[in-house]
Amino acid sequence: MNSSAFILLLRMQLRQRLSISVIRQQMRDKPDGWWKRAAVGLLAAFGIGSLSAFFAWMVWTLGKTLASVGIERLIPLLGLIAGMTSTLIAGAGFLISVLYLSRDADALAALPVSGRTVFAVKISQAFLGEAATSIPLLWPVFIVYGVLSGGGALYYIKAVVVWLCALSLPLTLSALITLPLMRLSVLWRRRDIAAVVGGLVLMVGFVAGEMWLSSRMASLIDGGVLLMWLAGRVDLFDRIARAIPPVWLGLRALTLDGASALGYLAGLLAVSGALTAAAVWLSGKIYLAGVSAQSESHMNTSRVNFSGRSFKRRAPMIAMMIREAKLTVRTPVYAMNTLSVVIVLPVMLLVVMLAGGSSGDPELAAFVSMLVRTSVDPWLTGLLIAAMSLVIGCMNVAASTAVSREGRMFAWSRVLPVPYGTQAMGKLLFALCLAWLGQTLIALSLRVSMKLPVQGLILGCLISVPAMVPVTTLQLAIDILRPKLLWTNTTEAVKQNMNYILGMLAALAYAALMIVPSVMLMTKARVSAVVIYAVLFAVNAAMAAASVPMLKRCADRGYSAVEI
Amino acid sequence: MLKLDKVSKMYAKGGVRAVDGLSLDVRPGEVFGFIGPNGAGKTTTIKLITGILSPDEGSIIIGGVPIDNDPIAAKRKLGYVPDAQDAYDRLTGLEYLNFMCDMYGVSSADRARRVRALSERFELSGALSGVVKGYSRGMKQKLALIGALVHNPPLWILDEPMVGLDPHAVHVIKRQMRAHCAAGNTVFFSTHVLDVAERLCDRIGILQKGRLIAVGTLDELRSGETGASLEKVFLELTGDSAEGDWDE
Repeated sequence: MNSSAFILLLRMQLRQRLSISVIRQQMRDKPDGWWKRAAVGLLAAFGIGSLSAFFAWMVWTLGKTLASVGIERLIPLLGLIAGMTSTLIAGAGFLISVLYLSRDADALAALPVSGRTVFAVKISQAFLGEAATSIPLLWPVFIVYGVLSGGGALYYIKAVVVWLCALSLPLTLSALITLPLMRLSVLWRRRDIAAVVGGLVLMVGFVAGEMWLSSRMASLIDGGVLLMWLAGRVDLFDRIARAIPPVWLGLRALTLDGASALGYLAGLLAVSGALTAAAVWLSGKIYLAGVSAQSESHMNTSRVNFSGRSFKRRAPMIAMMIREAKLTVRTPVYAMNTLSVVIVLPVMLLVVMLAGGSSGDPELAAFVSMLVRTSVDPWLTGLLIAAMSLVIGCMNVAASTAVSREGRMFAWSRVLPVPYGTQAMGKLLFALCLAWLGQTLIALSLRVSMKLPVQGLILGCLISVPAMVPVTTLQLAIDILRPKLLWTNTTEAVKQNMNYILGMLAALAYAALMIVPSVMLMTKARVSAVVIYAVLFAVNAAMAAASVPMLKRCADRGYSAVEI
Repeated sequence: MLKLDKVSKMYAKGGVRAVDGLSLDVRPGEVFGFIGPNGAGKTTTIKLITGILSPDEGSIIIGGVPIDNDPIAAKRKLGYVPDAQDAYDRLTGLEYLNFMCDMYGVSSADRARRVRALSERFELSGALSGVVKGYSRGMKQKLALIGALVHNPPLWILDEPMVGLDPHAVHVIKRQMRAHCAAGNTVFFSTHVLDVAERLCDRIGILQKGRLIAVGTLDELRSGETGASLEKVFLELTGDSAEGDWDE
């Protein structure tokens, strides 16, 4: 592998990915606009920061409880298992996108550098992305354990090495699975559909399986008894960790002292290095062939029936919505990200409830118990169902990246003789259909699994159906005003798009503003439920009605402001 | 049919004046060729005409409709073929064409007839059921050409239309351009292929550094130099010299 070409390419890729040159130029050309960009960055950092602070607090609380019975090393064990498993699963999707579906894949393949070098550059890029994402998830775990066990400077140095290996190991393992898979994928005619369906099934299966197992386990022993039981089964953790060798090596390196810890650390580094070497070697053999295989596609040569229904006329807004739906569902990365929230979450809820209840997950258990307790009061149940639907609606990628996903094709939006507002309405309609579909599925899954009263479900929908309009509009409006149109692969357009986070935070704030005061008024101030529902419905219906002209104005402003 | 009056455009991001006080009048029924060196502002001018960019100064009138006053009515009058080969890769060719018809309000009966005629003319009818992702560069270009013509626009705008096409397709496109004009419509296109411009255009405009340095028929551009080729005129006007020694 040519190291200077590797460094040059990596630097170029990171500049492109992080828009470093664009930021520099903007700072040079528009020095007075820096505060706007800084404010947006700070807002996103605050949102992510508050979520990770909450997570850190949860880890700390759990750590103290476990430390009281001397089993605090469960914390790094669980952290490493969760970190490595999620990197393995999410990494596979990310790698496929970065390695094979990037727009620059063909151009890089044509450069006079080896396939191994291109692969190494791409996987390094994925590694850096995963490293940044894992900081708020893994470092609270390492720090909490370090504080509880009184770890010194050496512990934190070991933690850095374990953290890096905990990412590189599953990522290279993903690469070793992905490389032959993508090379063979040329044999499948409908590989996009296979990727979407396979991905969704894998996601549902993984999460539902994990929750089902934990619910089975916890149904045997719970609460304080569970803690005492765990304390008496220290050897069980060792067996679990040993079943996943990298986790075992990392755990021992972190929890032991002295030379033995360093031995495990060396072992972890050796395994990590060996896997990386294997992946780089394999990439030299089949990576570029896999890249070229992606450009081969099945051509349907069946004749068009020029007298049939193929030429049905539609209104521009409907045509725009249908185009949006087709492009989203047929692009694996978009389909996975949009459908996972809207469809997979309700389906998972149903699977878990039917498989054995929610006792394995304390938060879910608390939520379910609240729903069951309040189910005698359909009014309160309705509010909780509305809250649940809205929270899922707040994560609607179809809305929060609707314009960004257009990429360079956005130029067409300005050529078409259709008002920008109408075009935005087409996008809103598609995002709303998904949101309402998710909402219906949640209501149905709660009805089937928990036998919640039908009145409660209807009341919940009465609030959440109109509320979903401003919530979705808010997310779409943010993407219209600051779209991310320059990207090299579809993952970048969706997952590395700050608009998703900003849209989610804004929508969550709206949902909280609607639901929290209503619950307080109903339970604490004993205000009539009918009055609260009437006010909520009226406010949300008014906001929904106001959303349409607001979106049109926003589209007029946003679409005209973009220079392509 | 197309009138540009002192149109200027400076890119906010780069501070570059891409089009500088450009005035132009393209008449109905003519093929107008727009030529110029790389970076002269041809694509920017086309983007301004199609509404992709907004001018900083000046006005653009399409078929008597100022694009800044009534952009929707103005855009209805044009069909645009971009230079980039970007396309909605995950749609089938037929879905793309239907989408364009919906956007331009083409009736069901008209679209079936026009799509059939154009796809057969461009030899793409056998591929319309396939996803655009599987198309070659030339097929994508043909699809873009059909998409721009399905609503039979009075003004057909093409940015480097010959790029990526085989000689047969280039021949078909040239015939289509002539036929479109013969029906009373206008064609405005940019090109680097001077031979095509020389043979096809009624009038030619030469752009350099965002300014229109010459416009007229080929004879007018030759300005008395009998038999001078467009290439020679172009090189003289743009100050580019292909003469002299080329030492390595």
